[in-house]
Amino acid sequence: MCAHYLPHPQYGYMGYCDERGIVFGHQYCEGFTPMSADRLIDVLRARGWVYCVDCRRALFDAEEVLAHLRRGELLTAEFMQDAVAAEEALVAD
Amino acid sequence: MTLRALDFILGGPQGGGLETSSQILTWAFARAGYGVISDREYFSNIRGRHSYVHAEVSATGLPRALRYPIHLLGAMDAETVFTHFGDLAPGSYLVYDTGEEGKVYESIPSIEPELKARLRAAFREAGLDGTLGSLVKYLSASRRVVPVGLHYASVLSEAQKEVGIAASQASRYVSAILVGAVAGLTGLGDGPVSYGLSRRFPKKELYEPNRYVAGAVASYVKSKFGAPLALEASSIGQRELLVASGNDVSAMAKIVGGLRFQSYYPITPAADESFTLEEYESLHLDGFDSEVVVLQTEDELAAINAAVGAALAGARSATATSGPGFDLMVEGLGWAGMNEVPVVVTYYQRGGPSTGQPTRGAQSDLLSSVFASHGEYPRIVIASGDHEEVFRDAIEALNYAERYQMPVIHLVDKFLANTIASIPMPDLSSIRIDRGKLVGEAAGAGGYKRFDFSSPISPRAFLGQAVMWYTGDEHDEWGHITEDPESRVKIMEKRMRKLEIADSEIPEEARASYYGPERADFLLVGWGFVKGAALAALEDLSAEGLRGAYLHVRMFSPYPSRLVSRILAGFEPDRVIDVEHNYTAQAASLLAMNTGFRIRRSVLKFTGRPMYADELARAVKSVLSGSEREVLSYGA
Repeated sequence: MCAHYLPHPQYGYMGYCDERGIVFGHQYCEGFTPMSADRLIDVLRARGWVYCVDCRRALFDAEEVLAHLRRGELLTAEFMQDAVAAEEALVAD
Repeated sequence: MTLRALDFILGGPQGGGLETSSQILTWAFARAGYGVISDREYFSNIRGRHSYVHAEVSATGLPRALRYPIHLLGAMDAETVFTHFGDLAPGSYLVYDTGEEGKVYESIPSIEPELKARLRAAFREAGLDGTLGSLVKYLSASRRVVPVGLHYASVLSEAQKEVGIAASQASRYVSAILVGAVAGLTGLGDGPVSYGLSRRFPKKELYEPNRYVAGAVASYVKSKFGAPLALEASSIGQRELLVASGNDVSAMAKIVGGLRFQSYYPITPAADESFTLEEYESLHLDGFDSEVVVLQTEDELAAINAAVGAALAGARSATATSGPGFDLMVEGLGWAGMNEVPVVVTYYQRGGPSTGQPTRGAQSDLLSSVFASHGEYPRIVIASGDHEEVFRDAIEALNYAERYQMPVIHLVDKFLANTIASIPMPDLSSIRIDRGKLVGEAAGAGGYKRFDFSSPISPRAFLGQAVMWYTGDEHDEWGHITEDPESRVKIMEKRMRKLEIADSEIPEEARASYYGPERADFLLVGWGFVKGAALAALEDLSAEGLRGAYLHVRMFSPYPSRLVSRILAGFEPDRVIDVEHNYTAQAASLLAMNTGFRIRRSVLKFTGRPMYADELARAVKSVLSGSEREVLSYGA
């Protein structure tokens, strides 16, 4: 998992590279910067949550975050902006 | 070999671009001259849960209903394949993301526990390991399903390199992958696809990259698979088709029918109609300028009362809602009944009771529409069966309301509301606007009796044209409160007599229709969106030598009793089958109440999913073999 990769909230294979400023498939490039466990825990402490894209839920506990990381799941605390989602979401009330 | 009709499903997470794929393909197929019908099914959350579009494209006619199994499944995610693989016909095609092959259904949180349990059993039986990859291999080996695997991330990376992708619009391009795959497999030409894309993306900066993605995927798929799902050339022969949802058709018809005020509180599946009306609040057509006021109120109580107020002031007035909203409107509706206010409620039915199944369809509010409110007052209740009926009925609802000065409830089920269909362009030359009896400025000249006893339908003056009184209490000719028993008899008879007049003036042929041979062996009786499935099922059964007919009821108050009784008299009671989307066979109860004929056999569905032609045909055969009640449940 690259630290510069901000995944799409639903399609984890697609994300925004905050280093290169482009949309990117979830794959490696020469600028790959691994997301370390320490960095994730720092993010958790700072924000209070980390989101697992694969499991579609927020994680609030460090042990849980590390367990998801060990399983190779996609974790993030920032998302690629999806400005058109509202046009696709149907009303429901 | 080419196909005469193609059934396909596109699925993905709600909010993930599915709506865009569906719109583009519907426009593209219609542009190529084919008939299209597509239903969208979605969960009642905002984003993330599984939603899908089920469509049928026909080269020989305008399709009325959907069928299983399907020829093609286009999956935006693994969950779509896990949910719909059982719908695939032998030899069908599966478009999926090879990047998701390792995904295990157990790890997908949005799959409901009940489906996971069914998948567990199915995977155990087939000896699969739970991954998408194992399922794809199994489908290929055991059901001859042809996998069309694309690595979506690579497609997008390639597009990024070649044309650039607008970061904030990225989900659009996932839509384009499916559009391209469907276009490639069906051999849909570049012209219609470009048309569909340009309708959806009028701006060049979005159109161009999406066209690139769709074109690249279509070329790749075509080069690898040919066009195995190509449709034969269209023989429909329609020069022009209107492609719209039931919600949109209702909105268009209201504008054509002279609507000038609509109030609403947002609710699924009604709100889309009001959103469309909002887009056309200012009308400027061929030198004709007008306004439709669309008011979003704080709740449904306010919505019905605002519509009543606008009607009293002289505007053609309506509101649109669904079950929970209608419940809140009932007291206001009674006030309109008491005061002879011409107001239309477009009632989109969804699954209930309570919040129920907000995004799923039903026909379980029929009795509620006919009987809602304390006390007795006349009302007209219309139910539309397809998009063309919605167009006509939405206009007639406004006419009836003003002609007979009473509330009109126009029932549209969610299936119809959210289904996009290609229909012939409506014939506008036959449309009439009837504002009923009006007194105009003359009302101010002398004493104006709003509820003049001299005629059941009193000439109407708008607020400001004369002095008049309105109250929820019982009243006399002037509108003044009175509890006098003789006056009560007179005004009750005046109000109720209007329904008898409507019954005598509205042709019964406009209130019920018979489809089928003069002498059929059995009769299906239905209403609303059942119409399409019933007619399609009868075609299938006819091919097997079973000659059936369909009685379609379009108005439930006043009920077309004479015509319906006449049709029923031609059938043995055991050969009459009620078909509805509810548990209690509500239309059959109303039919019994109005004709004395009790239907003993029924085919019912109340899962919230539409009735499919194939499952209805199977159920009808079971009933003809002796079953009294068949309950349908197909559909994810």
